[in-house]
Amino acid sequence: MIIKYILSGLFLLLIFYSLIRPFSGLMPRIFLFSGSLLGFLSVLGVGYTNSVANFLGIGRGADLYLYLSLITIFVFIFYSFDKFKTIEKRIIKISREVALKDIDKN
Amino acid sequence: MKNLDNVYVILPLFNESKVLDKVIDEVQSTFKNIIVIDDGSTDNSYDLLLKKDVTLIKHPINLGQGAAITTGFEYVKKIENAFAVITFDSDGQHSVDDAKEFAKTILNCEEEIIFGSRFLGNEKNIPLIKRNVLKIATFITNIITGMNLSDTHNGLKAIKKSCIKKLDLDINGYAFESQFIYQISKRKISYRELPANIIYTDYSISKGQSIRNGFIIIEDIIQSINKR
Repeated sequence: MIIKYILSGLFLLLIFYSLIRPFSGLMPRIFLFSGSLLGFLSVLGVGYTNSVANFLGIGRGADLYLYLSLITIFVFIFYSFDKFKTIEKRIIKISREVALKDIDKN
Repeated sequence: MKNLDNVYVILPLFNESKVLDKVIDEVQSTFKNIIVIDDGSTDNSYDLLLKKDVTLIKHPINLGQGAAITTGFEYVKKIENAFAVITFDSDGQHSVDDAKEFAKTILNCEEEIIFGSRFLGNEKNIPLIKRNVLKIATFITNIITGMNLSDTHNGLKAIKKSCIKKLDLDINGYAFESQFIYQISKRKISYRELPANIIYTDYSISKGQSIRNGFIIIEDIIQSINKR
């Protein structure tokens, strides 16, 4: 029973955090908010997540979590990939500037 | 009057200590202006280069061949008397005679870039598997870029400085050539092809690209399409 309170509190904090944290776009906020909300509902009772799943046309709450998890994983992979590319380009830009400033003309 | 002194040779280099002495001596027999970009070599290439009469640019870390060539372009943009550049592989697979022919042609032709092609000359020199892989790569690159080249992944090129200024290259790895060609096509830059004989040695083959890199090239091409 204690774990239920801890998790509920954690998810509520996350919902609050998703509303006040500054994000670069709307999508991360929606992701964090909806994920935390579903987490909170699942702690309250499986029936709640089943209701949401039924509303969305998905059979069970567990399936809804599976689909959302897959989407989250792929979004995260592509976001990370894009982020790595951006960082790589910045490193190259800096390295090039350093190299061009330090030309050794024999 | 423009002459070979207005043509700069860009030599991107990574761990080529075994052959760089010979390659640079050969290039120096024809060209006065050589820019070597040491792409973060971990062998003694840099020490050997210090003894050579070249302009030496050293990347603090390995960034990729495309990045090295782009660094060379950035440097040449600021050289007033530079009219054109020749990109020349440092593993000894290009012929200096071909580079000289490219330089003479770029000084006098209207086109802004000359692509080297190993399929316009003696293509039987090319190992069979490599020949077929190159043809497939050329076919795909031509479809994606809308160009009509016979060899899209040949490092030997002559490029006018006016052309370099029009490009905005940011792919550093294997797909640099594809992005380069894509931008030439998008910006409608005039070009021609000349035969470029490739000297295949065990060393140059071992330094070449593996077939698996083709997947990374395709991935990078798709990304570069979004870049104007």
